Amino acid sequence: MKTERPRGARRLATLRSALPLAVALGTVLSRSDTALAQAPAAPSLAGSWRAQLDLAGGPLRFSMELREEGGLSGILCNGEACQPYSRVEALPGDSVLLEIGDYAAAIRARVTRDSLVGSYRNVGNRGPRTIPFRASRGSWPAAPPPESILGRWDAFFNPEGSPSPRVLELRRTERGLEGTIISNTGDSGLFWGGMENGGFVMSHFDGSFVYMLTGALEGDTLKGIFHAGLTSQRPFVAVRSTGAPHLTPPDRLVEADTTSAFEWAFPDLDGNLVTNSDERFRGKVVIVEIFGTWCPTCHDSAPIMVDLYRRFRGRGLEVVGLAYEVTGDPAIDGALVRRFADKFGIDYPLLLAGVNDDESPNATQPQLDGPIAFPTTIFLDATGKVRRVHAGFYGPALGGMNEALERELIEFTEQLLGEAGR
Amino acid sequence: MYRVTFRTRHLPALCATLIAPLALRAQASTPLDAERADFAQWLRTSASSPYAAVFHQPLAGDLVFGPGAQAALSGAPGATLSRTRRGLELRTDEGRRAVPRNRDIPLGAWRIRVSSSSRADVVTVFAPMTTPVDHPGWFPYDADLVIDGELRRPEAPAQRPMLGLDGVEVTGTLAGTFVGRVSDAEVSLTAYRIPVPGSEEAEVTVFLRDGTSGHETYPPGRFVVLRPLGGARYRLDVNRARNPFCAYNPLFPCPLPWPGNTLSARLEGGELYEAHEN
Repeated sequence: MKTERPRGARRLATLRSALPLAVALGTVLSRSDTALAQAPAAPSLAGSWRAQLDLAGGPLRFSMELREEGGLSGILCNGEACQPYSRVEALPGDSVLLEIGDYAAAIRARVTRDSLVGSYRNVGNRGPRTIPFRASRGSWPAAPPPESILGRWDAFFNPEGSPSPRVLELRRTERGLEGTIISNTGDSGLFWGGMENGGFVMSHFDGSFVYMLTGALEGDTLKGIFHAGLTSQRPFVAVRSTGAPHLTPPDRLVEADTTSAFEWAFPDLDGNLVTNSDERFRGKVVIVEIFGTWCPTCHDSAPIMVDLYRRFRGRGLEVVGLAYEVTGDPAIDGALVRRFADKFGIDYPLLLAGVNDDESPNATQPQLDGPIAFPTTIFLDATGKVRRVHAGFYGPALGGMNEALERELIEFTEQLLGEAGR
Repeated sequence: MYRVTFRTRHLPALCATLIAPLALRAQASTPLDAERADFAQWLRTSASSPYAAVFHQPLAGDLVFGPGAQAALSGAPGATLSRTRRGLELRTDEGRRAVPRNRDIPLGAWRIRVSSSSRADVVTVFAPMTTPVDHPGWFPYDADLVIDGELRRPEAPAQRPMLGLDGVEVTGTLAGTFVGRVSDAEVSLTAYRIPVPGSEEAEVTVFLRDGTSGHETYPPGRFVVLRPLGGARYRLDVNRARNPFCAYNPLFPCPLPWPGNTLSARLEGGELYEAHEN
């Protein structure tokens, strides 16, 4: 029961309750200089971190390495595939910012001696979204997968709604379980993980894509869930591949007009128009690479294009890259493409062809019929006509398929050069 | 005596100084509070906040921007947006530039976005916000409105075009019927997987009306993304109910209420609404 106290008693009570506060304040003020002088150094961020994003379907794991020499920097890794943070910055209040500038995304976390706790955030057209983030010092253990789940699996995502074909490639490495998801237009980059509770867990986080694949073997069928973002989950089922085609072959995805010379006319990074009828390309075998600097698979294919060009340019091969970029602003897109060229040492022309929305690549390539994948590699013979269109690319995450594709591209280029008498 | 007087007179300010930061931190201490604060900040300050939209309509033929033009932007540089063989293009006195879909590009102090839908390209123009945004806020958190239930599979696969949160038309895939209990009453709501353009994400979402719709909350309804709990179990957290963009700005098209998703109970959780003056 509440009882009303006399005014004087209430004031006394107020003072009494305020006393510890005032004493504490006085203590803080009188010792502030000393305290500042003796403040413990901020915990070092340097070292290996086992990081995770807490999705609704469980933790998406990745690794980080942070360094302090020459300023803060760091990388985030899915297995052996690593990429640098664009900025690592210590913030006031024992916090740290890990920025992934290419995707307007960042991780902010409070730092204690041995842990980071915060959130990953990026902003889409519907507003910001955040996913809880945690990290502790150390590295994730490698839990080797059993033989029974390794290999190539023919999968369907959304098996009960609108089934969408995929191929899963799973393999055992010294880091545990690695693999990728292949669609009709390429692979989703390297997934890394291991075994847990009788099933497997693999993840891929690159700052933009937040993907995780969980599943288990039931009889001779793999069943599981493909997680994307905080809450999106799509079931999949997969059976062991028989070798029969499950996806549309990459060279049959896109049909091309083969009756006349393949045409293009786009500005290079200095604003000069470059066309297929330029002297440089006339009478030569040409590889046209449709790419975007935003496309991870295009980063996988670029070294192959550079290698082909260096290997065969003496015999009359030309390569031209048609970039479909993010903004449509030549200054911004040009800078992105220049950085891409520097990264891979590209010395063939790169042209600003358009933007990477749903329509632009098809609209600017009227001689191609079918959804254009990134990258798409178009082989022109010495008459300038399309001889082959290869949609997508099998990246290093696909191991043997990557090597086989490289051999195939080299052999086909040699074939075209041979036909041209070069 | 002086010291006592000083202390008592300044105690509220002193306490406020010491306690306010703690209190603010406490306010933003739960993930939901942090989410709400982040979203409100985005609405108030983002250059492409729905509050900043000043023009929104399907692209039909050329669209001319500038003073006295179709899209009359006072003080904006003259420009024409067209569909060409090379894709979308914006022509200004400075030349031509490609326009990517679903991303913002600058036009002077304005920003233009062409949202791609299955039926049309829709152009939105955002102007710098000159007046502060007065977001109506949220109902206080209510743990009873965190509803765990079952998503029952549909009898047959179905897809249909629908407006998403941002007024962009997408193809939703029927995910099933969410069945749970609120205050001892069973609720049954149709849920669709709504794709996020340009990503592999497709969130299981309900668009619902309840006893607060048209009163404290937006009349046509609110969106709630279901959180998977494993198996067929899902969580419908009404505290996270969000308004469609048309609630912030009548320029955006509004989704029609989904048939069968109107509840008679008052669900006093999630985002609030105050009617526009016009």
